[in-house]
Amino acid sequence: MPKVYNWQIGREMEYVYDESRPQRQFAMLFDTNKCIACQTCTVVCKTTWTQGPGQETIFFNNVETKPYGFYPLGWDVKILEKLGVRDMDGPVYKGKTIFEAAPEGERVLGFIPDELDYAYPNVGEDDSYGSAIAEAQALMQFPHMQWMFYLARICNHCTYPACLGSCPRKSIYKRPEDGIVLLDQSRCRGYQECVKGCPYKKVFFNPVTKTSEKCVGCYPAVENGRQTQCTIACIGKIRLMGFLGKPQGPNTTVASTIREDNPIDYLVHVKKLARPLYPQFGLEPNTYYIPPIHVPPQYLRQMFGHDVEQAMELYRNVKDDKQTLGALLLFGATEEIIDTFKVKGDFAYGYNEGGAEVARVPLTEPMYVREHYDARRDTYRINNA
Amino acid sequence: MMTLGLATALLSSLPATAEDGLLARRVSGSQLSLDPKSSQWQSAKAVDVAILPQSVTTPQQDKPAVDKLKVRAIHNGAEIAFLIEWKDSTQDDTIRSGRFADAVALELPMDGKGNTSPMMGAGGKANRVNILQWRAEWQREVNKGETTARGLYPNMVNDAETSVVYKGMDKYLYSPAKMIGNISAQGPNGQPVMDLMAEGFGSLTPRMKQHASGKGIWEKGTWRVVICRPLGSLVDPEAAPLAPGQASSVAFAVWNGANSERGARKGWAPWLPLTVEK
Repeated sequence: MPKVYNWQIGREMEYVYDESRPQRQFAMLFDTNKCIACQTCTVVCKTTWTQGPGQETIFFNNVETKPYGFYPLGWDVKILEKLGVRDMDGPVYKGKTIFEAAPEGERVLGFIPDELDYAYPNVGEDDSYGSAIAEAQALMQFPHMQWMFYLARICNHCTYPACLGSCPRKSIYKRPEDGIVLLDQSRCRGYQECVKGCPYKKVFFNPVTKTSEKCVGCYPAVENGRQTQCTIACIGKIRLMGFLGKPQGPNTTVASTIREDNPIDYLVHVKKLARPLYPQFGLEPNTYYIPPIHVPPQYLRQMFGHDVEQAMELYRNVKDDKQTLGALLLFGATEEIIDTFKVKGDFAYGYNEGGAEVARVPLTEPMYVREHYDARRDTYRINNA
Repeated sequence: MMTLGLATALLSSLPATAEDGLLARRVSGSQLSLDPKSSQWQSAKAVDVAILPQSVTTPQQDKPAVDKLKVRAIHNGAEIAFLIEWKDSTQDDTIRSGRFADAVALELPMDGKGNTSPMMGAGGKANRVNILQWRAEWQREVNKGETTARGLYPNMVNDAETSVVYKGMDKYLYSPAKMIGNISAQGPNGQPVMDLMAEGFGSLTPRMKQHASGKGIWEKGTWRVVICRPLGSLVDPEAAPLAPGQASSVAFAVWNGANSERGARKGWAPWLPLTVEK
């Protein structure tokens, strides 16, 4: 297999095809600390793309409750178990990726979920049940503190997609103009190799059309400078969609296209606050997560890579870092794709590719204190904040 | 008629091996029956074809469940038909997440001889092959109608079925593969057999003109599948040439759905000499 450079694992690795980075890369940032799993993103995606026959269990976007929630059931723990215990403690990942761990006669280490694994999205994930309710205590006792967080997921539009590498028919392609990974519905013959290969299980099989389907990155919106449906519908403003620059590889002739004034680049490459999901799989996924700061780092290291503590520390102190705070406040501030941003005075500004201002957000929300007694109207206010 | 019947019965009883090749016997009648149980097959000598695992390209299934096909061929001057039989203890005729359907295919060389690679036309344009694939999934649709979600999952809960919510709109609005005419999604012209071309691994493409027809029956642990197409290349210069009195080759592939076989995960056999009786 050809050798390619994967900056997320800090080394070269094997991939099915040669390295071919797009001109710019579709990317999405998620602030897990702000997600409340309201599923508005899931619903807006479903009503936009997947309400047809055979798409009942297809969720291009889903939100699951970690650590014990999954869609499809057990997607990450199953592939982690197949891959085996791997050390995630250094900037260079020394374990095997799913390409390097591929068995004889296979291109990728993978598995196909059972159809029942798709049958009950979110059911029971957040529920206390059984004797727990009666006795007002948790149902299970764990050897560690109880914690949870919500993980919103879409296709990662990976730099090295396993779905694309798995398809024997080259029905899946990565667009050179924006890095969006698409599945050609006219070419697919339903072998489900992509479903098997994608470790994130973000390619789904439609049994009515007998083809596989996946997140399209809302490409008609993106082509018109607009962020995806799941991003602009998010009421918690946890998401930012934009483009990620190319990092400089070990080959110094490849110039970096990372810009400090691009909020995506700033949070991913410069501040390293947003981390890739399961970088050890080796796909260089392009959705990035700000880790939940209340969750034990031992768990998060497995999910978001080494040195996750640094990102948690930065987030805890973000009020003192105006530039980072400004970038974070642009999440959910506009429907347009933000190309550049700046923080000036007490405001963060976002600009589109044409340089027009599309967002202006105060770093501190203005606070108005109203007296308990309003003398002018001779009335009392219950809410005096 | 009695003497002819006796003669053919005698011929059929003679042992045939793959080395002898497959002889497509000429039968009378203006149309060949697609019925695997038709008496037309009595004159055709069956050939056993040993099936090997596909182990040249990835992905692979190194232990395909089918190890042998029994194959017969006949023609009437206008059409040629193949009867392919194999043992399969389960009838897998739906494709769902992680579930696959049984299938069988025959391959004909575009050079009309078989001097080229039998492996999906590996080597490029000069080695192109014409493939006719029958799928149990399409057979079920021919027999019982288009696949529906409720047909696959009768107890499924769906509070907003598209057919109800979008009444009067294009029924394929949310079925992109069907909307843009993917023949794998639509099924090939109401037939369970698809007519395809290939010039190497991964290049398999449905032909613009679909000529093939067929029928498959699963009974008592055996699939019996008929695949039929017009003879001669006059019908379509892009179809593999086959004419009375001429020799060519034919190769086979078979998939057992219960063993997760699909695409390149299959059992196959190399070229078998094929003679179309004059």
